Amino acid sequence: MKGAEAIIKALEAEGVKIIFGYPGGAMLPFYDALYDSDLVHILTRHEQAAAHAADGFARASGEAGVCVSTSGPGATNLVTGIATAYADSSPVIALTGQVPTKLIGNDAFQEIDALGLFMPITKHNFQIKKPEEIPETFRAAFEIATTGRPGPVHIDLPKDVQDGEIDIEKYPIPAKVDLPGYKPKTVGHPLQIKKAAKLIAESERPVILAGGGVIISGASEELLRLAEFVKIPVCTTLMGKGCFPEDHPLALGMVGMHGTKAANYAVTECDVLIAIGCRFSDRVTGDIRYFAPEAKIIHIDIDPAEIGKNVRADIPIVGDAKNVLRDLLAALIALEIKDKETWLERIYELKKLSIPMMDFDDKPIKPQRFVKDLMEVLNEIDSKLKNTIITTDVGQNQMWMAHFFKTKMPRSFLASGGLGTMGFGFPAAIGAKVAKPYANVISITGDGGFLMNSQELATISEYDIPVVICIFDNRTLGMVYQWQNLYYGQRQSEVHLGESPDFVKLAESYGVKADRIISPDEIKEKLKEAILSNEPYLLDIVIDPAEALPMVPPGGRLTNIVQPIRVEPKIKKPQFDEIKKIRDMAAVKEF
Amino acid sequence: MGGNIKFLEAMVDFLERNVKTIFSYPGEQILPLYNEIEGSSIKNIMVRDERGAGFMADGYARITNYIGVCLATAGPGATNLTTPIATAYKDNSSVLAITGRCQRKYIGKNYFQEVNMDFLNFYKGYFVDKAEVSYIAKAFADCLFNKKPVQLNIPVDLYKEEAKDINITTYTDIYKDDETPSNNIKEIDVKKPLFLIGQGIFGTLSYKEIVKISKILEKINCPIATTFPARGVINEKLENCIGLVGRRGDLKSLLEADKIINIGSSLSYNTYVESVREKLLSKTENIQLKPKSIKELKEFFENLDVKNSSWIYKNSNKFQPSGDYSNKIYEIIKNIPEDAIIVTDAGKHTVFTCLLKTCVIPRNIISSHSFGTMGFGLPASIGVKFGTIDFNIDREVVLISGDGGFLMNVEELQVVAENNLKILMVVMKNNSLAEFCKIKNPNFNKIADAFEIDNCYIENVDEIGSEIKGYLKKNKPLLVVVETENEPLPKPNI
Repeated sequence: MKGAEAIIKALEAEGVKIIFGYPGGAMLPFYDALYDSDLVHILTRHEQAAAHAADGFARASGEAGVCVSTSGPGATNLVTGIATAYADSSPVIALTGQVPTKLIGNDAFQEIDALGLFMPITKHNFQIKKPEEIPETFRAAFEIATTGRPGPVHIDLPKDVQDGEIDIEKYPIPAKVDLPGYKPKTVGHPLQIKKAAKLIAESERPVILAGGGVIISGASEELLRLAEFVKIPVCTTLMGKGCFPEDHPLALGMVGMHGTKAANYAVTECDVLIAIGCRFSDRVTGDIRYFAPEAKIIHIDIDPAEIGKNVRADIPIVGDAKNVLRDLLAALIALEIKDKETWLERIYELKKLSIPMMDFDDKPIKPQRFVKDLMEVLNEIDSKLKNTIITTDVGQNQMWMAHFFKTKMPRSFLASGGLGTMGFGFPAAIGAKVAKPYANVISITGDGGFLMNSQELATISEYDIPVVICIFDNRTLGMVYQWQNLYYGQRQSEVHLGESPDFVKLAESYGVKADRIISPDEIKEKLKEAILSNEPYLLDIVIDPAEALPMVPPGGRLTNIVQPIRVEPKIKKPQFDEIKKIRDMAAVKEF
Repeated sequence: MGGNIKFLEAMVDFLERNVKTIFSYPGEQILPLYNEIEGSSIKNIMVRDERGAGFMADGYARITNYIGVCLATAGPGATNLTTPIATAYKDNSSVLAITGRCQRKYIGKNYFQEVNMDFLNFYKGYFVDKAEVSYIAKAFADCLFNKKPVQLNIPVDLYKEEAKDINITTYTDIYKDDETPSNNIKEIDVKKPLFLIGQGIFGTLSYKEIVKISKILEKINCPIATTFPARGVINEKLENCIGLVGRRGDLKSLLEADKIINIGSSLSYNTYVESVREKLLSKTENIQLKPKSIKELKEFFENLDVKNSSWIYKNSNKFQPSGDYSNKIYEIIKNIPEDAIIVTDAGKHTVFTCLLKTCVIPRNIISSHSFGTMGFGLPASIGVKFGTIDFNIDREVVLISGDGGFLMNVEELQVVAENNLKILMVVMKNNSLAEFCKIKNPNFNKIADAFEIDNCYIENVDEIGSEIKGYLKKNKPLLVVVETENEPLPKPNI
């Protein structure tokens, strides 16, 4: 059997049925073998989109997503996507072609040191030097990617390894691989759990801070039971959105820089903070000195490296969230729970203060109004949002959605958190739709972020992948614009995106249906049409560029929520004739 | 000078003295610098993806033989530069990548968009941890004199510190030429000598000097061959010019020569293909020459004594267009000015362009020649265009791309449109990805409409001439979609 065939057999043995990729010379044997296999290959139009799609697939399904590229520029094009997956603990398998083994290191055509390149942005990487290594390496790669704290794993595949012969009888795919030094700890220490249970039982003002680890672990059920049993309010990180139903009375919403007032105040006032599967990024904590200043902190995380890294942990518990929460609940059942009624009254009061005004009729459309109508349409179609997946891009669109959109299910709100990758949303939606073909997948993106991977309109058109793209079109890099208005004396520097492209025309040029939404009263109608069409669809929503979210200044206290300054955009974009005039006037300087 | 100058001001002052254009995309960690540049004399071109910024800086560097500068924020802004910086590295291009970083105290601490930045240091990177202008000067010097991309990574809290070394205004103060040129060669006494010229011959010459090299080389009385990126350094119409050698060029001349004098070629596998590599290396003499002025180059060749001047090599294997694809490429080449700067992407169109174009001037063709980067063409052509504007290079810019490569950075059409860049953009639409598969293409003409760019669609080779003539009379960009049948490439030398 050829090495390339062995690779495909290994993928199939892992349950992989669909991969995302872009072919090239160094991957020729693999693509040749792919032709005869049952694996479905989705050709993206850029390798970066293949990586993001595999990431979206992984986040939506919980299974490993697979992306493939050739050597050199194919591999380097994966870097952003893999780094995004790594920052958010997403199990992606990245396969790269490589020049033949004897040419490695000789600066051959399309050669790059892929191993060195991917090492800092992957959980692990391999370079296969002999076809015999293929079965065991792939088993190890999938094991590492999907267990413990998940993360991307890279496999570098020299062309001659793909072409080489392997005796599959002698080198079968092992049922188990021994990985010395890799033993993720999944069960929490019983003594620590008892301590935590005691602390929670005796607490007066507890808060749960739930991160992405709850979703990855599949611990939503346990979280709900814990919160309801003890009556602990729950806030989430951006990555944790969806792990707790946000229409629940105990739900506080997202915490942090763009978090809700209820969440930010609750965390600041609590006496016990139960942090589950989160990493305390700066976007969550703000000024560390004033983060949960009066609280004892219980930190539950599967990655011991994260505990105590940014925030002190009074009771650290290393383990898988699902296991730990189950054990914690068992320990709590045996204890007398102190009454928390006073705290809950405070919480409900804070929640009332946090109810946002969303019923605007203004033109251009307020983002709050769009999110409200989107929620109503989606809940009408799918009342428990069981078959609904939202992906966001990075920027104001992400924060509008994170702040206002109420999720109900885990793996239903996919966003680039740690790396904050613009351009992530649309290809991730493609991956999510492939992973969950019966879900309604909505890609919420900005005009800047959408344009970065707009070539993927060709992919959804070719494969007829019915993703609905909603562009928050304010012709502005809104997040940067907001920062400039707040912190740089309203100097709006190079953030205006201009009047073109016409996104409706752009989508139609790819054969994708499209429409523009200008007026608030047409939002619901057009959203329904797009979602229920079961076809790829793009909606260009003309959004008020001057609208901004309240935010906590970077490094500030969570209770210092600054209200936005409304500043109209100042268009300052010289035309080329103006540029020529300037050039003509300036003396040409020889360098 | 009196008063305390912040590093931010000092840095922008340095950039103003040494840079005309920066290609950038804003983000949180570079906002202070971004805003300061906006108030300076530097032209800041906002791209639509950091990938585009990297490729534009690369195209700019190649045509001007100076530094191309791109600016990107931390995290994904920087990772998006990976492919362009790798491309610049493989092709020896002077790209300076200025990247953002969070405050120093947050490095490695789960800060938003914080990631280890070493991945961009294919050649070298500077993490700037002191507010010294000399860091910038060193980065400039490294970038320009070594013809390699350099990363300048600056944490955001450094900008407000008091600047040191503010007397440094340019990079030449910093540069020390470590390499002593060992040009011991004075005479060449073999019967059949051959000069192999690579792009290293450009050294740090200005563009105006580069175009004068051909006049020096035409006087050499022995055959002169070039690598791909150096094509046009000697006009290929001249009698002593062999033209391109290697994978897609002549091989017999290299084999027939008694000695090969290499000036400026890194002797990649594209030039010395594997099957004859050892044989060629054994008779190659490498000249270390990085000219800083045309005078230096002139003196070098004048002092060279080439005996046995009777050897003339005739390259008799010129490729002739035979199918639909190559005929259309040839028709394009015939109708554009012979000195047009042709930027290509990666794919079949690049090979046909390479085989059919007679290069008469340096940088007649600009390609991702060592990395084969799809998506290079459109943003690189934009960077080339800005380079021609800044350096008063009166040459047309023509992009010849395939359909797959063009789509990869299609968002940069916005930069073409809003700056009204006169670039002839040709998409060779054959609806296929090399030998791998057929692809369904969008309607490229409608895409151009969406960006408000003039466009036309061509099926017959006869239509090409009139469209190009019309374009040349105007002062605006044009997208030309050329429907073409597939055609196999001639076999390369391996």
